[in-house]
Amino acid sequence: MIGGTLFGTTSNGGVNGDGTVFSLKLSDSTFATLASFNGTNGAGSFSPLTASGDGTTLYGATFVGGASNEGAVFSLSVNGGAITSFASFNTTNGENPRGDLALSGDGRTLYGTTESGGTHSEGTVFSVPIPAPEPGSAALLLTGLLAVAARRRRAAI
Amino acid sequence: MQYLCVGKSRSTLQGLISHVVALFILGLACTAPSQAQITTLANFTSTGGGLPIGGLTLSGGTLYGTTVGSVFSLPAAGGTLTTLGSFSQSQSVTDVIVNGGTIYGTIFQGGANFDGSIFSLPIGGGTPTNIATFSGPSSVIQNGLTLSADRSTFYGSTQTNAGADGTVFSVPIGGGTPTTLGTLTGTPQGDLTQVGGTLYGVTSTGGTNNLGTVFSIPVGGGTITTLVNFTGTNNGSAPESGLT
Repeated sequence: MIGGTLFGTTSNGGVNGDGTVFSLKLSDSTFATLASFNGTNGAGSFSPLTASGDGTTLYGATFVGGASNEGAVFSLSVNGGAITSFASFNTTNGENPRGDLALSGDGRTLYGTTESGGTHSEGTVFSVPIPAPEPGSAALLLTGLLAVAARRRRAAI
Repeated sequence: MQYLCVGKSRSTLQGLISHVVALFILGLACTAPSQAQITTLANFTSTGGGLPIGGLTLSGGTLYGTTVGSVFSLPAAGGTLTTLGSFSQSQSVTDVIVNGGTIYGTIFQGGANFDGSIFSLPIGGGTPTNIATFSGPSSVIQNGLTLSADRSTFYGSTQTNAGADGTVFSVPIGGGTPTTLGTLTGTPQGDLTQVGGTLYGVTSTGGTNNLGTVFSIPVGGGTITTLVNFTGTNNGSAPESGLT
């Protein structure tokens, strides 16, 4: 639970029929669909969500979907928006993740299992680093804008 | 090359370079998140127990989980997978709870009647011990346990053999006879979540549209309240995992 709100996934339904991520505010039972899977960003989640340490981001895995349709690892803001699939399974590195993901103490790595795939087609234990948080991109964007502004100011002098 | 030595042209070149750098940085900022590399820490085999379904629990730098026939541990930093205990004629399909020096979990077909059971296992390995067994029509356990905040009680849910309906139960951490807290009209999925004096969970069937629900029930038992009825296209259907 984050700030009085519970979060979960559905394995089916939503606008694309690939499942959804939802929230339920306990104080007034307000339900919201935060996002829908579309296959490319994952489909058919059987794993519970894992919250980041600061409570801003949800992580999870989908049983299928992703780049090879063998499952994906995704992130999503607790406020909703686009689902970001940042890792995909391809049979060699496992397929069909299912079950809880574990988050490392420093919040940088997710651990999980795949039900099948891997060297012996009997499943794997995997780890995947969490991509740099959005503030990194925001800082890059700000730096770029400042550089452009400085150039224009210099040109105007 | 003359322009390099002329002030006006030099300024123009510097301006061009600064623009290119700025646009490069902007490009980096606008690039879609790159794919992260998945690292395989262990590959399961049929002989050592495979097909892990329940996910992982991280405790003290070690990952714990179950396969269809065993409980295993693996250093999170990578290393050798260790089988801590094995089940006979039964299987676990859920995550485990690590509490102190003991691992707890559920067995899909454990107990004397090959119904469901709850096991405990020393964290260093050994023989799993059934501390609670289930019997009757709603005795299949495919969902994990939730440990109360005071670490005295497990909460969980069962299903019927037909995979429909089920119950919410409690069991003391020391084991004993399960207490039925409520009966569901729908198939419970995933772990329960305790918030104060209330347990929250999901069913993948049942509800107004038979597409699943979110429900709550007092930890002491009583009336099950349906908080959400899933509708399919509008808000999804068939939740298969617990709430966070």
